[in-house]
Amino acid sequence: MIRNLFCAAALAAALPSFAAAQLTSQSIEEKNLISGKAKIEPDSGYIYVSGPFRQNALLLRLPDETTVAAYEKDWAEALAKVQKKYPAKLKSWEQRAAIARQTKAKNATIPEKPIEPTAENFAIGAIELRDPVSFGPQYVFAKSESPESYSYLTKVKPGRYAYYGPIFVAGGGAMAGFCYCMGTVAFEVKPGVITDTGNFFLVGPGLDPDFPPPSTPLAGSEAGLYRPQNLGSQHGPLRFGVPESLKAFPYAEADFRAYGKLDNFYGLSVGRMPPVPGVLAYDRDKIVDLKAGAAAAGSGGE
Amino acid sequence: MPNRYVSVAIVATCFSVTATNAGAQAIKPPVPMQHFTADEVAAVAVPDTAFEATPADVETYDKYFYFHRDSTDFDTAYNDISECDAVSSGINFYGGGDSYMTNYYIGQYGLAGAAGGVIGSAVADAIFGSAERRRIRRINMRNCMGFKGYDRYGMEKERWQAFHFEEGFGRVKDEKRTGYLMKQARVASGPKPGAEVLPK
Repeated sequence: MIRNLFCAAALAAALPSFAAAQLTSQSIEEKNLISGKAKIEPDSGYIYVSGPFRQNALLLRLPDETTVAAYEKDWAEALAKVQKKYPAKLKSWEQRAAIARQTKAKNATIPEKPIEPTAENFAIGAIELRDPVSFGPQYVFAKSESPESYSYLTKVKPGRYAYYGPIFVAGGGAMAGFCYCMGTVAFEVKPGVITDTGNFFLVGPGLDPDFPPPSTPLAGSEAGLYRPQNLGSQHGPLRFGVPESLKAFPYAEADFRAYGKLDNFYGLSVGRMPPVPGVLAYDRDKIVDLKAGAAAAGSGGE
Repeated sequence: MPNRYVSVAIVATCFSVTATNAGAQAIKPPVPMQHFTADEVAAVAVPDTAFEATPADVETYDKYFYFHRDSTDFDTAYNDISECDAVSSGINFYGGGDSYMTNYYIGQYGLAGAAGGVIGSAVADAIFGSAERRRIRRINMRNCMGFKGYDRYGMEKERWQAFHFEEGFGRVKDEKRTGYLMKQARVASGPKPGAEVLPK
């Protein structure tokens, strides 16, 4: 029932995306870890997720110095390539434009002059899309019927990750769902450590007082409106903990911190993570880091 | 409400990565806030928002609506609407990339895969169609402007079309777009409408 509701909500908001995600993550199943087919490696990071029903999400690894250096290198190489091609492109345009000017056909139009590639106008895509990570709803780590539970273990590149939203990534990379473009959380994933996010993504966020849940499910023209449900009241409390099969490995609870806005890279429905007590709040659309506030208060700061 | 958390830190809303000088232009800066002179604002014609609502008008308020927020100046309203327009349309606003120019160079020079991610999802669009994309844009504008605390008001279709646009697969040209957004900002920062405030 719960799963059906969840799926219905996801489908109601099933929004096509402009772009396809090229994922850099890998799902691990418990049986493969036990059999030795899969391993916990010291150089990789691991994100563990649990909850009473299937979940799906997209996370973005926030660029670090290595990402920036690689991005700049790719950008410079690509810019050099297009700059080399530009003179031939311009010449071709000049010829086509001259022919168009000479033609007497009524519908002849002068083709648009190509833009000269410069460092200012040249772009190769958003740097935040270098390491997208997805999990669910299939490829669970483990599941049980009583109580009903599903968990996911995802091997990722170590680093800091922003939760981009409850987004379904289909085969081929097409997506549907909500991006938490206008406010979310981020957390660190250390190498060789299983970062336990527990059921946070489901029950951590609460209601948003300015956007009360509707009395009936949103449908038709209103599907996709931001009206968060308080899943914590139905499926809470917030719970962390890894199963026996993971206890032999280093693991740690994720430390969630408020994170700022992110572009709607994939053309999804725009939302935000609902407020999370002690972690994330909003002052209109400004993101408020409650942990930073608590730390400042504890140290006597403003 | 806006001052509820005055004592806690407000997270920077802009993406920031330390880039080296050599590559500073690779990572694009966020869109800067635009400022307008009093003359420039005065030159923007104020759209006509007064009308006698019919039951047929009310039925289409999910499509035809505009925004207003008290005590908001034109610059703030314009930048808020521009931000929501960019986020709703899937255009980079917070910095890091430039989706418009990326798509241009991909199209012109075949650079797909240079940075990953920007590949048209033709299958999804074939299933849902342009009408669905227009609907999503409306929903995204409602969500985004709702987050910013703007109230929503219903509008009669013809008047709405005088300063709004719909957007499906194609992209409305920048000049037309900016003109419409400026008119919307004039209304959003103008006198409080007498009409009923609709749900966000």
